[in-house]
Amino acid sequence: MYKLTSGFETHVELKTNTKIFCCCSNEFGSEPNTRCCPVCIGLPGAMPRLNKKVVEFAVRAGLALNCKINSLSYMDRKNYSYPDLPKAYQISQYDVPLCYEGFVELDSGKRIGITRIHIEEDAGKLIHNDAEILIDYNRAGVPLIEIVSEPDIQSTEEAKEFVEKLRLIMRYTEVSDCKMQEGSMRCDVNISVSDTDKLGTRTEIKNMNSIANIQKAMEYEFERQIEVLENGGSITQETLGFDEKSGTTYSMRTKEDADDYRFFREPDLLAIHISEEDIERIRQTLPELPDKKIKRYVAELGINKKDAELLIKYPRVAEFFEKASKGVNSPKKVANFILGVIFGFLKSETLKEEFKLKITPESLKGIVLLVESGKLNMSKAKTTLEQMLLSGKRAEELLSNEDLGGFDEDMLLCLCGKAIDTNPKIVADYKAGKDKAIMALVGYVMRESKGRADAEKVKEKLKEII
Amino acid sequence: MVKSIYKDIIGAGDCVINENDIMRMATLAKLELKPHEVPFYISEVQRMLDYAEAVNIEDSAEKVSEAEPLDFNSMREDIASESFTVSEILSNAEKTEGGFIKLRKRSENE
Amino acid sequence: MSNVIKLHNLLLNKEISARELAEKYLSAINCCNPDLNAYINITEEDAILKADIIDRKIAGGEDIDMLAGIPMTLKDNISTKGTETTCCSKILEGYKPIYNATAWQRLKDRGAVHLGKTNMDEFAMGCTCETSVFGSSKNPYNTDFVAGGSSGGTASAVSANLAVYGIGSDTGGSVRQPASFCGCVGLKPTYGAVSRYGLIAYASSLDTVGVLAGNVTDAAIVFDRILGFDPMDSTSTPDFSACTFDFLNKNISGRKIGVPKELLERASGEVRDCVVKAIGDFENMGCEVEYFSMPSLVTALPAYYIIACAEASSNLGRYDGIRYGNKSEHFESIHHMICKTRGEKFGDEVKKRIILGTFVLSEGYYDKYYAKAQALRFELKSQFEKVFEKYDALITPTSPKTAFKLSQVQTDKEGAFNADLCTVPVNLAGLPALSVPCGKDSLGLPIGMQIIGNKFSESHILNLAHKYEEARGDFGINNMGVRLDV
Repeated sequence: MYKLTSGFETHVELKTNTKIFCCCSNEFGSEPNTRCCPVCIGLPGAMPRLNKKVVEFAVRAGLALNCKINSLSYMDRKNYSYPDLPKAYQISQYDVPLCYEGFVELDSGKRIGITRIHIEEDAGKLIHNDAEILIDYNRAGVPLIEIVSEPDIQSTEEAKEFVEKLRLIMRYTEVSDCKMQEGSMRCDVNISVSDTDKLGTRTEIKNMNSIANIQKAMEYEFERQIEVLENGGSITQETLGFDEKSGTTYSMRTKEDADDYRFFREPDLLAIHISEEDIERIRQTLPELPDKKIKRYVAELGINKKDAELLIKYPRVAEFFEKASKGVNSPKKVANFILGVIFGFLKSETLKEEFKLKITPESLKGIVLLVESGKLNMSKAKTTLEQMLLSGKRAEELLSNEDLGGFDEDMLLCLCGKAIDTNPKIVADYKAGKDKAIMALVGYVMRESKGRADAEKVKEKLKEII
Repeated sequence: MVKSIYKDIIGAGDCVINENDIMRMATLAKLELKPHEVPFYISEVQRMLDYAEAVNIEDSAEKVSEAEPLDFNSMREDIASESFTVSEILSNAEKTEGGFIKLRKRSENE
Repeated sequence: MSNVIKLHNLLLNKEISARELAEKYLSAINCCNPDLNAYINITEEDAILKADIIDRKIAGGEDIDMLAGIPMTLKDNISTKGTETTCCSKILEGYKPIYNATAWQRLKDRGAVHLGKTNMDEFAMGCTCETSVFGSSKNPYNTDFVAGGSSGGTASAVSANLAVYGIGSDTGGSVRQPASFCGCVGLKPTYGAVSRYGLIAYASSLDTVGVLAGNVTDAAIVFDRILGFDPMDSTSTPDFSACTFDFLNKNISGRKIGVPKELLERASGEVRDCVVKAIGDFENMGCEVEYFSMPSLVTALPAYYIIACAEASSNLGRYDGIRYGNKSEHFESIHHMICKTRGEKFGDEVKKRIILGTFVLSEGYYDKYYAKAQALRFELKSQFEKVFEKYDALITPTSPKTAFKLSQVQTDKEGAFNADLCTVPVNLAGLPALSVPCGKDSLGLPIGMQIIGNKFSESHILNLAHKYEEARGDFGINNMGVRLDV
């Protein structure tokens, strides 16, 4: 039985205002070479200046991933030549990274170790045409954190869960958008197989930019490696790419071609000092992380686990939910409105992530309070909410005084009595055993109350009286 | 010749450079060396390495090879400033196209 | 003795206009540069333009800085916006920076009149200025001899009165040694005292921007205006300020001067005698002199080569013709283009150092060479710290010998290697030091004395040098370039 062993190296682009070593703006998009300066295009004589927000974000990410923080860490040069690397070296961290020894806990309780997190700069972008390459240095100098995991992942399911959890945690800490399709989060997957206790030779699949592709690539490579070994061959340690169309991996470079990076301390930058106070201060700014939120929603807010997972899947949704639930008797109702009406309204993943609504959490809370106080029934509440989402009008504008008049016990008793008095035949049918007959009486009450009554309550009351 | 000045301190000079070493370094450093140049570089780099060998005379015990870091951080605020214009950024590039730097994959045939 | 002050007064008194002054120097350059090859790029139009601006200010009664209107030069590794900056290498032919080096900007803001870029060893690698793609610069005292390196052109120009002062760079002695060979003053500041932003890097942990001038006072005036924190350079020292000019005339009696024996011993007889005599002059001025031993000064040289070449191999990786500079004409792939460009357009000395640097950083050799060299470096630093607890300053020869003959170092490799013996320990330790002329050899070639101080003690070493200068009397060529004694 062949076992799969895998570790991930994930690059995450940080959402700072400026690049890591210069004051050029760090936005996505824009025309080529419009966000550049002597530093990020590596002009002779230009020198790097470290952006303190990058260090802060890296520490935030580290703390969110349960890492230890090095109070003294260093920047190093990684020397290699490629047209997208202006200085022919990347300023990164080699032997003393900012963060180390953390973990991500999966639902099963298993922990995937995080070996280290370090900061470094991104390279420019190349566009390959037939006869030429076009180079855009806007991305050169964009700040990255590289999150290296231990080879603790043993299945593609674990890989999927790991990447999803990692991505979600990064989004909650707001250090990155982690939009894999835009490239702000990229994974290199190391994978080996073995049928003994010893680890096999690993290969590296580079620049995976979707979770679906990661799984496909891992599955393919797992099978491929087993086939090679079964046929008596051995695995070459090499760098692979993944071809989405064919679903296969292909060789990019072997170890023999590998660069000797000749790491040495970056002489143009000083060491990075982080005090205990700094770490504590950053820790205080960490938001409640997804796993904790789920536990709290379930334990304290009466939400079931599945619903909780859906709510926290999108940080803005969770935030909206929490605001709308404050001071409400039944947060579950708030959750239902969000997961039902609002999610039904925002059909795509992108819309749910952006969660741009014409209503505020307070207005949703208002609707829920009206339902809880009996002034509004569920179906009216739903339709009102839908109208609010469409039109942006407030509840007060959409509901008349009559609608909000509420429907108290006396009214209920009165109308039920009226229903029974005016429909003796239906009452008789019901008494005779036709259970469904009661719905006709309910209908009568609903019409008389102009929809304000709560259908369930009416049914209960009628049964009581009869 | 080196040894005449350094004979009192120079060591065994146990590192001998050969052609493979020079070619490997030239590859890493992306330097094309013509075949006739190689012997020149072997002898020159060997000479420099012989001088450099003098650092290994003192068989010192574990010396600290990391400087005491200065006790302050040299970092800047995350505030954007105007980038240079595209024409300035591209001003020294030989070929450009649509704002990109253009690099031919092979030289034009004559 | 100060040329800057003399000229500043002439300008203020309207005895000469800035334009006339600039024209005098430009005409002298026209005349003398063909023999000396000090300048490799003369910026005539720009100089006149700047001079005219100063003249308008003077006419309008505006206050001007002491350096306003004073003609000067920049070594060709100092970035000048819009003006070609090549490090005297083919690979940067045609490169025009889009920004100014901070040190130059600070002088520009004060009205400096830039006459042109001066010659240097290619990428500052060399000690004779002969590795320049523009050919070597000659020694104004005897044009059969070199000007020194790597700021050879700058030293030659200043010494020959073709510029009042110059800005150069010093990584292993590149300002002090040519100053010593050419008979002018060369100041290397404390690492971090002057911004390196815009100085095209050779070895980042060793490079400094330095000043060459005809006398100590002028060096002090210029240094005072370029020093100080620059946010663009993360290694520049915050909170460093100084006014060395105000200190120049302080009484030096009672100062403790240390003389490391090893460096004197390795100098030629003439150099040694000259420096010892100069040391005697300090004693006459009331200083306490003590000869002592500091053997680690000698192993500094190999450590320097390893560290400098290692950092250079990394700093020069970016020269591939893609974003700037010159590229090869015929190639079959991008990789081929890069290798061919670098192979063709770098000179031999540069390639040698890149290969050595790559080697000492490579897997398997890093610990043996690079890590070891850094360890020696830090050992040297702490030794200097102890030494400066005892002494206020150290005096050594600037260079073991006087200027080489042209082409001499092609065969005298040992001599070339050792030319930096006295200067590199200063760079490794990041200390300030200057060279001041103290005599001539039997051929009439200048001899320089080096004064080394503790970190950030430029005021002290300039003070000592100035007092020595006064005691020594005149030194310099008065029959070349622009004559200021008239």
